[in-house]
Amino acid sequence: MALSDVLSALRIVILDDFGKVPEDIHDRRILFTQKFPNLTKEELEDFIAIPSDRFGLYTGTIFSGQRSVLRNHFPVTFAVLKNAHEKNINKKFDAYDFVKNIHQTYPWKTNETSSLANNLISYITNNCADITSIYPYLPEIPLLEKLSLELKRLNENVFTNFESYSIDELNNLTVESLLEIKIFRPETTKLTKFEYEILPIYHKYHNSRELNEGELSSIKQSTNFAIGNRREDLAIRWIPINYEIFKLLSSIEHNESFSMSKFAEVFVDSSPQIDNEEEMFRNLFSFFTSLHGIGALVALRNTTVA
Amino acid sequence: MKNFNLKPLGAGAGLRHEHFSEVLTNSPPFNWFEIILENFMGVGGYTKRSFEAIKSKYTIIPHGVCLSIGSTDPLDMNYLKRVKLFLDDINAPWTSDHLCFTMVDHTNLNELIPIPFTKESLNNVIERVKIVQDVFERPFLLENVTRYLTVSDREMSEGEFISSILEHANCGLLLDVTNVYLNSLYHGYDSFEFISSLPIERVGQIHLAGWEEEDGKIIDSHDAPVPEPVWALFQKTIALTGPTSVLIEWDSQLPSVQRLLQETEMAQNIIDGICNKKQRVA
Repeated sequence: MALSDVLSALRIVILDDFGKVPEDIHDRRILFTQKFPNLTKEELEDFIAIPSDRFGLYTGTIFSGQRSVLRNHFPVTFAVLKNAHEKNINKKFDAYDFVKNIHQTYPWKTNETSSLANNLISYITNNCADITSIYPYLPEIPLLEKLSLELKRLNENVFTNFESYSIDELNNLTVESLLEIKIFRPETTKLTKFEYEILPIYHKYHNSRELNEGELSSIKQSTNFAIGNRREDLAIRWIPINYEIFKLLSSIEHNESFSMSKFAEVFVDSSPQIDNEEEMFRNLFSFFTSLHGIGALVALRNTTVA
Repeated sequence: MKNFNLKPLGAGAGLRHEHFSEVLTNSPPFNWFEIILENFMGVGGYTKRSFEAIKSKYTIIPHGVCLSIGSTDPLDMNYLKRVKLFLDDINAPWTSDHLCFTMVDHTNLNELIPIPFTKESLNNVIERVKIVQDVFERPFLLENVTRYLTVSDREMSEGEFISSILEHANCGLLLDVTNVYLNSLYHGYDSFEFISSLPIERVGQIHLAGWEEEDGKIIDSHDAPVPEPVWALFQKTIALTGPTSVLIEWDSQLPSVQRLLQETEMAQNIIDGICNKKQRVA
C-alpha cells in the first residue's frame, strides 16, 4: 500500500472530479476500482465508505476560496463578465462555475495568487469567445488588475529616502526654478499600454461599483498608455499618459533622476500646438501635478535619491 | 509538563491587515496576536512597517498554513528555511501548523485535507515533524483540523493517531476546540471524551472559531462569533488544560476591533473563572 496513492486519489476526486461521486455505494465501488488501481483492497473499501457528499464539501471550499481571491483582486473583470452574461448571453453569471471551468483548462497548482491570476487571463483570452466577441477589450481588464495587484504586493523594503517638494511649494517656484528641479519615477510605479480605452470603466467601477451596458459597449479600440502608482497607504492610482511621455519614462530607470526641463520638452512636443506660452505652462504644470499627486513622479528637493 | 512548557498568554486574536490602523492608533488591550506567517514573510513597505510597530507593542505568535506535514511530496526545505529566518527575526517563542496535507503530486489544493489514520501515515508525519523541528529550533505545535470525511480509521482512531504523533515526534498540540466539536457532529462521537483522551499536558495553545451553515451542513468558515456549544466545550477543556494561550480565529466577514476584543474577553473570563476556581478549591 502507498500513502501517496491514497492522497493522490483524494486530490483527484476533490479537485479534478469536483467532488462528484456516485451516491450508490456499488457505483462508487465500480468507479474507484477502475479509477484507482493502485489502492489496496482495504484502501478502496475506506474510500468507498466515505459518504458521497463529503468530498464535495472540500471542493466547495476550495473553489469558493478561488472565487473570493479572484473577485477580490479582479472586481472590474467580474463586473464585466456579469454584465456580459446578463445583458448579452441572457443567463446568470455563476462565478463559482466560472472558476471551476478555469481550473479544468488551467489548473491552479501553486498557492500563489499571481499564478491563479495568469490562469484567469489565459482563460478569458483563449476560452471566452462568446464574451470577447461582444467585449473584445475584456482580456485587457484582468491584465490591468493584475498590474494593480503586483503594485499592491511590491516588496520594496523602504520607501526611498528623499525630500520632495509639495504641490504648494512647486506652485510658488518661478518657471526657471521649476524647470531646473530633478524628478524621478519611484519603484512603486508601473507603465503599461492598452489597445482599448479601458481606464475609464476601471475608474468608474472603483468609484461607484456600477457599470452599465452603454459604457461597456462604447469602449474604443485605440492604443493608449498609463502610469500607475502605489502609495504608502496601499492606494493604487492609474493616470493616462501619451506615447511620448510613456517612451520617456520607460527609458529612465526607477529612482534615476532626470530634469523637469526634459519632461517639459517632451510634454510640449507631444501636446497639441498652443501659441499661448502661459497656457502651455499651465497645462504642463497641471499634468505634472496630477502625476505628482498619485506619487508616480516625485520632485526632488535634494538632488540625489538614496 | 503543563501547557507543553510554554508560557500561557491568555486570550488573543488573529491579526489582519484591516486591523492595522486601529490597533496602531488605539492600542486596544489584546494580550497577544496570532499571524498567518506566510502573509508576513518577505513583505515590505507599509505592511512590514505596520507589523514591526504592532510587534513592538504586542506579543506575536505565528501560525503556518503551507507546511503540508501529512503529504508524501518532499518537504519544501527552502520554505522551511525561510520560515526559520522569519521566526528568528520576530523572536517567536513557538510556531504551529496543521495536521493535514495541502499539497500532493506538486499540486496545491489550497485547503486543509485530512490524512488517513494509518501506521504509514503516522510514521510519515513523525519523520517530517522531526525534520521541521530540527530546522525551526523552537517548540512546534500541530493543529487538529476539521474532518468532513474520514480517510481511514481502520488501524487507529484519530485520538490515537494524534497522541502517537505528539509522543513520538515530541511536539505539542494546538487544540482547535471548534474543529473537535465539528468533527464530533460529522462523525458521531463525544467531543469532550475525545479531548480527554489526548495528552492534555501537550496542549500549548487553543483555537476557537465560528462557522457557517449551508444546506444543512456546517462549514468551518472562521467568519462568525464562537457558537455557544463551543464555548461550553472550551470551558470543560480549560478545566483540563489549566491556563493556556487561547486564540479567537475570525478570518473573514471581519468584525470591528472592538467586537473582536469582546470575543477575546469572553474567552479570558472563562479562563480566569475556571482557573481561579481551581486555585480556590486547591
